[in-house]
Amino acid sequence: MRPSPFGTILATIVLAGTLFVAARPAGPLPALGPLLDPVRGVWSNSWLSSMPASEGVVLPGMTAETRVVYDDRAVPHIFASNTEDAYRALGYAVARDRLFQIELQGRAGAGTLTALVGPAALPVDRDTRRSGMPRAAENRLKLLDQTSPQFRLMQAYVDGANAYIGALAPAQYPIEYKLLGHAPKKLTVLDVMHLFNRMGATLASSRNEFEHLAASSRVGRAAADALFPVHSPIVEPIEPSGLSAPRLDATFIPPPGPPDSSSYAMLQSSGRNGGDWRALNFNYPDNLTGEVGTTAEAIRSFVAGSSRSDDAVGSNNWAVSPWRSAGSRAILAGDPHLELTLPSIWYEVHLVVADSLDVYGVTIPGLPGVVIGFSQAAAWTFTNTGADVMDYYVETVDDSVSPTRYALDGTWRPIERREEKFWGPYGKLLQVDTLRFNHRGPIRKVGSRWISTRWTVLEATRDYEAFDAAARATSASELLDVMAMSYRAPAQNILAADTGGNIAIRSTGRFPLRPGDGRGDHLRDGSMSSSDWVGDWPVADYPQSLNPTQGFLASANQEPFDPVFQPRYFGANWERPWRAIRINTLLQADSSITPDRMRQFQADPGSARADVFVPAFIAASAATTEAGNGDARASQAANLLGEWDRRYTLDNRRAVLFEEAMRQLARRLWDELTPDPGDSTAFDIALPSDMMIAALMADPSNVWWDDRRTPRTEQRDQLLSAVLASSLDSTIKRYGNPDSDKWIWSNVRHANIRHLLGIAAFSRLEIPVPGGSGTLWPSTGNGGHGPSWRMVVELSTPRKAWAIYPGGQSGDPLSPRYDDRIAKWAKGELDTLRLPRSADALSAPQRTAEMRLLPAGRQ
Amino acid sequence: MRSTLRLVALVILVAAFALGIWYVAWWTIPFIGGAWALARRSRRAPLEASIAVLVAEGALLLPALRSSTFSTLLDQLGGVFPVSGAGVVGVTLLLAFVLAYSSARVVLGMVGIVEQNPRKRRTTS
Repeated sequence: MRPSPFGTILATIVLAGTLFVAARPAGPLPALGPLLDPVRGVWSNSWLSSMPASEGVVLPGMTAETRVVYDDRAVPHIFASNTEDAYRALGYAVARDRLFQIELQGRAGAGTLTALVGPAALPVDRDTRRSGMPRAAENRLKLLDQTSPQFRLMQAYVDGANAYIGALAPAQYPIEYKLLGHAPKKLTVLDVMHLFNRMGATLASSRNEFEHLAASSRVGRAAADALFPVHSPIVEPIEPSGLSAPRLDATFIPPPGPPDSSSYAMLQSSGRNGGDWRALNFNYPDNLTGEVGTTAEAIRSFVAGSSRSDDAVGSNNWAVSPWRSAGSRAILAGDPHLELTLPSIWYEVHLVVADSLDVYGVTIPGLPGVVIGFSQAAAWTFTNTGADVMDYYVETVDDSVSPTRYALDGTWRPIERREEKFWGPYGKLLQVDTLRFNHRGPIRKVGSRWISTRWTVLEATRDYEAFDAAARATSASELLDVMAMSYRAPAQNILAADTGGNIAIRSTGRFPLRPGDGRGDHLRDGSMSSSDWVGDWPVADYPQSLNPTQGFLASANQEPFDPVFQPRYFGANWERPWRAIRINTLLQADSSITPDRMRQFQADPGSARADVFVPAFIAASAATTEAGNGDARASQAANLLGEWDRRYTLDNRRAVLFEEAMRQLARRLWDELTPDPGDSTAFDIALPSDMMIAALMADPSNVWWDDRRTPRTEQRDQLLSAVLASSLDSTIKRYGNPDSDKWIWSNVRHANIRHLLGIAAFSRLEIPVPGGSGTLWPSTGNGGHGPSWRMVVELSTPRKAWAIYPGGQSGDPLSPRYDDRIAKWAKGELDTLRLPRSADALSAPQRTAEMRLLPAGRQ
Repeated sequence: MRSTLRLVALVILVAAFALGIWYVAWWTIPFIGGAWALARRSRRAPLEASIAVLVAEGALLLPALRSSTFSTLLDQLGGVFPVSGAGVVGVTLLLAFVLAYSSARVVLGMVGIVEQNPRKRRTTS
């Protein structure tokens, strides 16, 4: 019997439809055919996720056999006969474990994420390109001496990574590529340049000018100057100045004045909520719409990284001299706080080249070299300096809509135009932008004005040399010196210690010298070359210290200088000093420090902030009661706070009330800065930090204490007391009565470690962690930031070291090494690091796999 | 004898699907399904093709099913897609089934049309 024509037509329609769905991506879904292919699709990831115990791989370019031994923490120990081979092996090993991350990092710096993840990334890509970073990376590459040893190391690293990528079968692609429907892109040296820029965008961008302008437009310049000061009112500098305790410098905050008309005019017509100004500084829009789940939000968070104000972004480091340590050896502790992602920003590695290099530490996937770590002679770590290295200039242009020239010293200069194309995943052109640049950097339209940006990150040229040089330094001071020779941005407080017992710190980077008052927190007139930077700080003037008499050094992003001794402008609106105060208190109290004490300090839940404010709240409540204006609710809240040991432990029940009180205090104290309800033209203004509230405590009748929205006129104690009462009410409303388990800190505050694409199934969320705002283990906001690599190194012979990061060595969500360190990290524990001197030095239980990388022609 | 031959033919079909997917890709399924229908010229061809491809896919999925991380993968895929992990397995098999069945059915129909119209067949050949 002949098949029915109707059935044939129906089958044709079904076949065509199925092929269409199988071969083409549909909305957020990738093409199902390749995705569900049993051999090359997602299924193969489950049987390809383990590493063979032993294998040999021919790696083009290798000059001799290089052994890569994996220890029981999945750390590759690379034993090579020369440095180029070591870097080639490093590229191979990192690509093997973190391939998708490498590509994502490079694309984030290049502004080409749209080609991988789709239009959801367009806003962040446009911002990245507008910042001038991709152009700067291209220029930097042109300037590189391609015959230099450092360039050859970068090239070897790239070649190693590409050898891995080139040998990959589609079945072996990381699962993210399969979900996105892409094949891995090969790495280039330009991608490495992009990655350096990304570090700068994360750590060295500032918007002091905007915050200052916005505050001036609301309360006048004098008050804005005081609220966002050049110097911290609480002095606890990185460079020791002889202080044995923090110093509170008397700070008068003038009353709110009339709005500054020129600031107001500058902000007018600059987009909703000053959006044009905010966009100058990686303030990505919040309204991205995602294609795959929460990819857009994750990309925004990943690319914006640390640019949002959140003190969980910041870092701690400290070191003690031998006379302060129980073992009479220098000990160094490092603890950079960054965005928490899976896979982690860090990858742990050990590079050994006979007689010339033995360095252990963490690298950033895609970046050749160990960024933080230790050699046989010295150890080093960073905290972010936060100096002002980014300035804005108001330019005079020939055409307010489409300028081609800008005025400089009375003559017109050409503006460089650059067309930027944004491509979608399948070669679709999504957007074309025309960018403009002058001799300072990118020029962007903000409201009716054209603003140029000068930024040290765009002008750095030799940063890539720094990490290899640090690994070869033979002492702490030599390490700081070699870093100062080549490292420019983002500026870091580099702390070093060596086996000779020396400890040293120096804020290293390029710090511009400005004309006139030297300040960089105001807009400058771009029509005059006399507004330009006039040079750089000499290294001798950098904040630094070597073997101080106090026997320790510490930094936590606070203002590095004591302004009494160094009043020159170095930056403004510095990070609050609470962590620095706490570290210094702990170090001063202990003259027999052990590595384990250092570990405990890293997870210390004590709070210098609570030590300042809790007694102030309690005293204010008592004072108002004594004056006959007491409030029973305020007294109850004060009693509850009095029960607290001011430690953000997991089981404490009072931090939740304190945090609510601090939140309400800021809103009511700085009410003059917040827009009036219904005023749609007003801007949101960043509120001054609680360091300014601490400074204001010494001035109890300052008019800022008055909350204009209440009929009475408050002074300090009245406001603190009122805040206590209302905080108790709102905390009870949200969490129940104070005996409720909902008040337990571990039920309130969590770490959230999100996958790079925001895929919930690949993320680890709601991990209870101790710590709070301003503690050494900072835990704030959405829980997406925090300690990213805790390391303690005892500079003994042989070296001893302990470390951990929240994640695992593998970027494969199916691997047991994807997240195997998180539980230990959340408890504040560290792993003991394996430090073999030779490829055969690890015992059998400590050794899990070996890869032999062979020159071509050997098998 | 005839049933043995049919069984051998089916085994060959299963192997053809498996080899096609293994060495080339998923998109060989409709070609092999169509070729089977062309060779068999039987109304049973679409069903045979679809059952054979299920067996082939099942065999190819065996390494994944036997791996220690398969259940984790199912959980993760269930988190990524709007269906459970088991549902994703189902979609995988359904996709192969539909491709094999519909391609065989289309070819069978076209062969039938050509054979019903021998003059046209001669003209075109």
